[in-house]
Amino acid sequence: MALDILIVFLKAVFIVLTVLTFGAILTWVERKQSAVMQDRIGANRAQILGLRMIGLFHILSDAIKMFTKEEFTPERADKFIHMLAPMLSLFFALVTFTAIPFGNVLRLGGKEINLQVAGLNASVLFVFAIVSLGVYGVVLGGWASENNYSFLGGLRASAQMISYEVTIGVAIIGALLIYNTLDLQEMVRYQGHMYLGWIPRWGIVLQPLGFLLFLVAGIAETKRVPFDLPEGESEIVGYWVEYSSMRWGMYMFTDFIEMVLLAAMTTTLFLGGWQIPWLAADGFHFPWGMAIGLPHVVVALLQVGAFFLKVVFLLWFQMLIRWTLPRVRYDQLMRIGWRYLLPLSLANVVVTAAVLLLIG
Amino acid sequence: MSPQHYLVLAGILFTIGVTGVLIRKNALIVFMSIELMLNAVNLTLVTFSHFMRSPDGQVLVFFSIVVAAAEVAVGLALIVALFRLSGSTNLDDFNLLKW
Amino acid sequence: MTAFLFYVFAALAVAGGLTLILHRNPVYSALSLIVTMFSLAALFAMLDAQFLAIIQVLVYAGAVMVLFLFVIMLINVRLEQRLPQRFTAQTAVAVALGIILLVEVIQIGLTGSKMLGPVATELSAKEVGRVQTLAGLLFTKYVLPFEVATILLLVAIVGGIYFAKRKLR
Repeated sequence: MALDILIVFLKAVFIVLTVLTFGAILTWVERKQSAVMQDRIGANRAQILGLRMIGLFHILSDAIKMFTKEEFTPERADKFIHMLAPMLSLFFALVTFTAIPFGNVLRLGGKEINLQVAGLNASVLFVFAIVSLGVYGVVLGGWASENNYSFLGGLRASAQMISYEVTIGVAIIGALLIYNTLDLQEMVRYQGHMYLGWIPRWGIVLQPLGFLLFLVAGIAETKRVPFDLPEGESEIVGYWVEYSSMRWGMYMFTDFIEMVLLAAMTTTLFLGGWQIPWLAADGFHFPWGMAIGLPHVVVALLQVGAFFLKVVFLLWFQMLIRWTLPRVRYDQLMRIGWRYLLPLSLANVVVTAAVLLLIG
Repeated sequence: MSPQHYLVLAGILFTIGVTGVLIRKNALIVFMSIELMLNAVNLTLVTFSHFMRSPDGQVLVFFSIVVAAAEVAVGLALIVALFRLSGSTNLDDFNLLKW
Repeated sequence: MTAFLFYVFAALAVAGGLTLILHRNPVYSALSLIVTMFSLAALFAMLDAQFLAIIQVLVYAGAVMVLFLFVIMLINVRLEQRLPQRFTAQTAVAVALGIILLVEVIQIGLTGSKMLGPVATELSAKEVGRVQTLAGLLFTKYVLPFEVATILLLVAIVGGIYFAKRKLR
């Protein structure tokens, strides 16, 4: 019993630390990748004893800067909620990771460890339940600042989040129909097979439209370019204008954590999670007859590595989109969400259900 | 935990909801108290469902949550309409039918 | 461990409920109701009703209370704070009635387990609350109420839009 609790605790600490590290590195990637894309040099000034490490120390200097800046609270603001709102945002973004499987079952010393913090029966729903709570941080932050512009920004942001949550929810129903389960770990297991020996049975192969819709709506949900109207740091007054120092940092960090969450969910639902093609429990079995035997621990670690590799790929892809596309207008945003994405995702559900019914 | 614990807790929550409906004047608070009562009843249903090993009670809770969601959508729209008509959400101000 | 968790969440739920009806600021009332709903979701999970626990958070905390918060923030918050909170005869009577009701429901709750019927199915406690079990019932035994519920939701959408869009004199 005590050992079980310890194992769950260690898993939770592992995933939270990993995600926070991803978030911290993303603050640097955001600047460095844009610099590379725009043929600049980018963040490279921070140094320790002349050591620059391609600008990685900027993460550290940013953290020091944010923690030491003045924490400003508007005089007429609701002090308690003003403090609470960014914490809620960050908290709900982090909690979702408890349901995401980052590896298969690991057997250590006769103990089976499911590499997923909380093995829930309906973990997809759990993730959506918690994601839908993220709107509180935004709307409360906007309201508590006692500033009409930030309040309007909060309403705008929450309208956007709620609209696109609908599309996200409907977009994955097609995949759920195929997987026949709401358990993320089971979904990943389902994606372990191969068609014709070389096409992996991943969600992206079975549900290409669902994948696309999920990714687009997900990017809108993370409130990043091209859907960054709630924030638009330099041009649009958003819900966080009255925030400074680490409280603002928490909002900013939530965005990066949500990027990681979107990447992790897309990986789990559509890119086979921790599955590696041709890798079975006892090693690689290639269709041309070659087989490489591997011990259990190596296989488990390879799968965890594969999961995080896919996440990193999707993060890179999101950054690519973020620095490529221009921002949409608010009416365009709502039109994309309700007139194009939602009907398309509904059509996706109908077609998937009909096909499943036909092929039994 | 025995079923009594859950049932007594549900009873306390239900009573808080009833008292809220009786003492508050703000239509929104009254509405939220009603939601609290619905939640308390859901807890008793889940308790019985758990201790009788019968999933029917949980299906009933599912429907009750659906109805609550629909009720809130219409109810809040009504409150907003009333606010636009009378400029208040105080239940004592809605006295057009009195003379 | 279970007893400890039960008392923690029960205390949170009751504290949330009391704050809901006693706090002057409706935003805090709404937030405390969210706390209560979360505690109830945790209690559902302790009663092996995993699916309902998630639905409770998804629908109540994630959708219903967001709506409440929107409406409170948009129309109400300044007004309520100016209202004098008088202790009237109505309040006294309401509290007295509340206490009587409390005694009654606690009495019923304590004897309620005697009304507990026999164990109805051969399902284990874990299986009762699983998605598969509930979905199976929803699409067979309760398929008519299920369809009626969808129509109800449609009616609610139409009604909500009608009230929101209507031009008032």
